[in-house]
Amino acid sequence: MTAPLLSIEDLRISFGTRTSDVRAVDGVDLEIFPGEVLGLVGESGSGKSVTARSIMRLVPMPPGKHVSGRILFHGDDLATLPERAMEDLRGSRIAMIFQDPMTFLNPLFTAGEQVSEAIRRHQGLNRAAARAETIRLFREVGIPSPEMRYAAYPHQLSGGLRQRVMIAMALSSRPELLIADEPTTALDVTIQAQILALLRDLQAEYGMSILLITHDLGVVAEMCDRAAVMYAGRIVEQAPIETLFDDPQHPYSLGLMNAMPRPDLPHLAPQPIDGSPPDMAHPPPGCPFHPRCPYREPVCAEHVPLMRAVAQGHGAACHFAGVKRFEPVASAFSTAARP
Amino acid sequence: MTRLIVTRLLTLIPLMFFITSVVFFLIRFVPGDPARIIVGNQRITPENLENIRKQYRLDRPVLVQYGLWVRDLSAGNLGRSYRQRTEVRTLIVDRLPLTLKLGTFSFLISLGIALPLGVVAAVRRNSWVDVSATVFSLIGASSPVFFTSILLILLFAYKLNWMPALGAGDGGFDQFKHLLMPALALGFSLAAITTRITRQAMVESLTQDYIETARAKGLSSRSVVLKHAFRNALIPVITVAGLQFGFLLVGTVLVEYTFGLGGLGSLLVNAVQVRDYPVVQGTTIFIAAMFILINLVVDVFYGIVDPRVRYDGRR
Repeated sequence: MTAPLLSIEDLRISFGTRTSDVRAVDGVDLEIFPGEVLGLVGESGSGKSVTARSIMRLVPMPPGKHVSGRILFHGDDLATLPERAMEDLRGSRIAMIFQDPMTFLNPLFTAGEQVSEAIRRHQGLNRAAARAETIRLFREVGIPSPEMRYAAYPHQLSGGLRQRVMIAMALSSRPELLIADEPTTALDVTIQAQILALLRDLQAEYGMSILLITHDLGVVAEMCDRAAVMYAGRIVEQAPIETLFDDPQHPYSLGLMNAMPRPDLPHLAPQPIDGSPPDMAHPPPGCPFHPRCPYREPVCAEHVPLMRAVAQGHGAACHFAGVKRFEPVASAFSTAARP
Repeated sequence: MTRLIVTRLLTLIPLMFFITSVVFFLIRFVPGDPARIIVGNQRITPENLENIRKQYRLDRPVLVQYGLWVRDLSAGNLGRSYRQRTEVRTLIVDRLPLTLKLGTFSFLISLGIALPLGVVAAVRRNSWVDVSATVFSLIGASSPVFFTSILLILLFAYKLNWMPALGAGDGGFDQFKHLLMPALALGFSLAAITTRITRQAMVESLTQDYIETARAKGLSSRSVVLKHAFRNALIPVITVAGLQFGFLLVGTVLVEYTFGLGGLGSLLVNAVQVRDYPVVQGTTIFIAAMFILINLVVDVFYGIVDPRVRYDGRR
């Protein structure tokens, strides 16, 4: 097996508020291998964005933030790397694209300026060369009439074009790892498909790894080689993509799948998971998912389940992973009557 | 952009006409007979008093006076001062350089204090710099300029004898020395507000998503703050700074009195005191026009800073 490109070891991030300590990330272990697309899936508030941002050390710094654990990238621990070295790494070896390309582009600079700024920063090109390179990148990410778009401001571009500008910016230094935080959530469905196709093509061409953060299992199924499911600041299941969909070993993963609309199986109405994610200032004892779990047993409220391997490359943090057969019966997850 | 400037200059005409008409009638509501004030305590026969009135058209009905004044105005004639027996235009032209120098000087001092202080306070929120900036703003905003002026005079002119206390000096470095303290007093008080606005706008723009993009690109904190955040924070700062510069044209009057300077502000206030109608009207017109022009400049600046408000309609 090849060595991982990036490995996160026991990452814990908490934010101290006046009244309590919120554990946003609660002991995450994750490896990303060269050339793979890894999906990080979970509901809002599950800690997936914070985990991803902590790789780039972009988690905002409110008072009382605590980080522990290691983030190893080519032997460097990104959690303790000096800020200057971190700046050199950001946007060159690890790059990131974001959810809403409108608010993530600076409204006062042209699209071209914002991309060529990144090129000049990392490749030391002069203005003219950076401009030429930006226009080449614009063409590569499928921006029509790139010379004209170079001088366009973000508000003059459509959502899809803006996201292409972000992608051009992120790819400008040929990163080894691209972190994509919900890159299609703010876009129209048709544009979503285009952007995903573009990311897939570019990934194949550049051979980079992608960490794709999403709440959409459909996107995961389409894009990823492997996926990690996050719940309440922890990874609850990790598996190659076919295994995850065919043989989920954590009730939460199964719940997510049952909650997915299935246009191919119109008689199966999506079944939402009852309840809501726990308050991370006061997480429940034992397994954080047990209050919502239809398969819970007394042990679930007492002991936190550890990640256990159920097969090669497939692990789940459930006391009954590999023991109980989680029936893929949608009704098990919802009291709502089926149609 | 050109269209904006031309439209604005055209709206200037009715606006100024309106403002000056209001002033024309308002000043006449103020009790006190200008002819009597011109004469002062000297004894005078009723005939001579009537002659003075006639000379300055004060014997005519107010509406007729108004019509004659508008006629003069459209010919570019601001009239003659009752008191100083000089053309109002000459009075303004005489006083203007000092006002502009003092205004610009204090404006630069204000921005020189407020912009760096506001930016650092926003970047290091809740640090000692931020707390000091807040205290500075509080003191600055709550000390009247004549109070700070007097403190400055007491300290630097009276105690230490480093600075001249009164007058405008004889040009060049001497004038710089004379204007330094009044400009400091004004700049200090203006900086109080601008610091708050700058800090607020910087805090706001530093929490925007594009700041994260800029950091994710690998830019240093310095360029993230000074290039990406500061430019966005400039918009509210320009608004306030523009208003302040307009205010400085007359708002310097307290400082002018304290330091014995003759600027536009004291020209206007003195004229009101002696019911020197033409001077009051002329100065007001002039100041109103300047104010409108400054607003125009502010709007042009908006367009330069923020492409979303460019006015040429090109997309």
